[in-house]
Amino acid sequence: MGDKKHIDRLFQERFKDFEVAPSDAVWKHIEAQLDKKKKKQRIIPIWWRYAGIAALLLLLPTVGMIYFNQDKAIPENQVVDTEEIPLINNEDTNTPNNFDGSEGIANDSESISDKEGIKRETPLQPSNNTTPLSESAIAEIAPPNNKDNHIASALVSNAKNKTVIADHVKKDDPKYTDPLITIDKAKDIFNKQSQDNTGIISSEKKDDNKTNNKSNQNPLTIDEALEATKNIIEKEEHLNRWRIAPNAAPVYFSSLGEGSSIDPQFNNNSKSGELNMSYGITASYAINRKLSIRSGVNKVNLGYNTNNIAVIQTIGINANSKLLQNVATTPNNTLNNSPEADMSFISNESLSASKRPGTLTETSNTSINQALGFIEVPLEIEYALSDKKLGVNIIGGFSSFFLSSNKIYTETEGAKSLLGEATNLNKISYSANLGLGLNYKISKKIDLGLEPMFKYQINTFNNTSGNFKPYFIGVYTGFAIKF
Amino acid sequence: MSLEQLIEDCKVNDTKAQGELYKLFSSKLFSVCLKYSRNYAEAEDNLQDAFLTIFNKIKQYKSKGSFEGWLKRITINTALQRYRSEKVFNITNENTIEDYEIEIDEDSYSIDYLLKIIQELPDRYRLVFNLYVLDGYSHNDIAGMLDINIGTSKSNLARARQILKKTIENHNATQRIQSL
Repeated sequence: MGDKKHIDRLFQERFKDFEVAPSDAVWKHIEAQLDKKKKKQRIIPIWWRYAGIAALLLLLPTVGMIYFNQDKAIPENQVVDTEEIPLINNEDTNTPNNFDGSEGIANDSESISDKEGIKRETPLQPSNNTTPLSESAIAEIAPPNNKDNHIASALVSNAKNKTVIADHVKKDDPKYTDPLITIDKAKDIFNKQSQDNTGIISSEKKDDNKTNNKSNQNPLTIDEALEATKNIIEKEEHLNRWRIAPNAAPVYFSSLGEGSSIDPQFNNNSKSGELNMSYGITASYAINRKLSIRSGVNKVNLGYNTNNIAVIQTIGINANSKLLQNVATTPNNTLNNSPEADMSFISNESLSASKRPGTLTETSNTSINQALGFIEVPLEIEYALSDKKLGVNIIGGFSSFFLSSNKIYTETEGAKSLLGEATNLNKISYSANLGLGLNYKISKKIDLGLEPMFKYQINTFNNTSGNFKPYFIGVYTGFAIKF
Repeated sequence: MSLEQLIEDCKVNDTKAQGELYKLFSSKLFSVCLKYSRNYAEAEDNLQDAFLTIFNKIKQYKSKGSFEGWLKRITINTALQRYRSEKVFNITNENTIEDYEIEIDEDSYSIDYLLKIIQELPDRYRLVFNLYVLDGYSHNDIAGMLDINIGTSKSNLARARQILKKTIENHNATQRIQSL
């Protein structure tokens, strides 16, 4: 029987140094959960983020296009109207009746078709066809072609971009002016007729006749015109849907945050990015005038230096600091003619004089160079802000990177030797891309492109220390061939 | 590797560092879990949940105060979360505070035995007893942590002590009978 004791004290004393090791199963569970979470955090959100960006990029142009089309609708009317006005003025001075008639038809045809260009053009011609003379005159000039020209010219004046059509019009220019002359002729003839037929009734009759004539002709002309525009539109779009662009770019690799992909002790060491090259080929497909989607293959070399590292020759001691966390050394290589295993790399930043082991020989001013090679497969969306002679595009998207080369070198006073390879590089990684594309249209087939791109790398390393956030910047230049 | 570096590495989800951290603190935290849980299996579940929370929230740890204290708080909170929701339906009036000194015979009770009788306490009593007696929280703290009032915390503690005392005395009695 011991002494009486307060129950609290009893428990407090007994539990003071109470420690029990949990079973291994607990850590396995935790590890599995962490893995699951990592995968969830990494892979799924990446693709969701990409999807988000892609959706946004798709949405913006769509909204933009709605605005664009609205804006376009108004100028089209205006352009055609001005074309019409001089003609009307001519008619106006001569015969008010004729003018009324043509306007009436114009209104009619407006309800028939959506195409502004065609709408206004078609009535104009019939109004000139009221007399057999002018009809034949126009027939001589091959009406379908003639209409083509009209419509084409209207489209060109609006869309102002397709040189092929412009050529077409130019070629037929003399013909194009002909109808105007015949129109005048026809008007003269018609004037005489209308002068003969005095009175409102007769003029009305003529209006009727005219409308009859026109209604006979209109279906034909509208159909033809529609088909013609269809052809033209198809031609237009076929012209530039595909682009193939071989490109080359100087790329500069760096990290946004402080940290090291090699070893935690180098987190605070200064790092300098290397200028390397990326080259490849890109194919793009234009969904419409504003938006195109593109992909390709690029070979990318990236590299950077971790500076201010002390190399210490450790002879059989200090085994802990010998190996860098994320570097697997190649066994049979030599460094300064001594076995690599005898080299230690210590950050000069963390190496104070007192800590420095006196017995060790030291070579300073070493930097570790990490060289990476990837095959990059981008998937990007290009949105045209301007498609004039000098086009401006916004480019956004992502790339998948497939690791193709992985080397770590040490560089001491200019001498570079292979140290090994990084163990923490993922075979497949990604990047989020954003850039600006400038392309100068040298001809209708060839563009000269210049694209500064920023690529933020994701999942490149699976075990970096500190806040190592790699990215690279490249200025991609090349000629694009359009077909 | 220093603890600071380990924490930094855990902040960037370094798997190796997480393993190191677990090795360092799992025994200590598992003992906390054992005290606050009903049995070994639940203690393991609690430990697992606690570590997941720790790795999840380690970015929020700002190197203020002891890291171990921070870990312990998370572990305790994890346990509390599990049992807080499971309300104790007490027939006894919780407001009767009978906090006279409860003394028992000093005897060499094994830690396993003491742990067992703590685990056998009804949830709320166990939590309050652990928080107050073993982890040094005040009734004020406990009231906040368990969302009960201070009076309830005090009466819960008194009940816990009584039950423990009774259990130990019964245990002694049965042992005495057996030894006879």
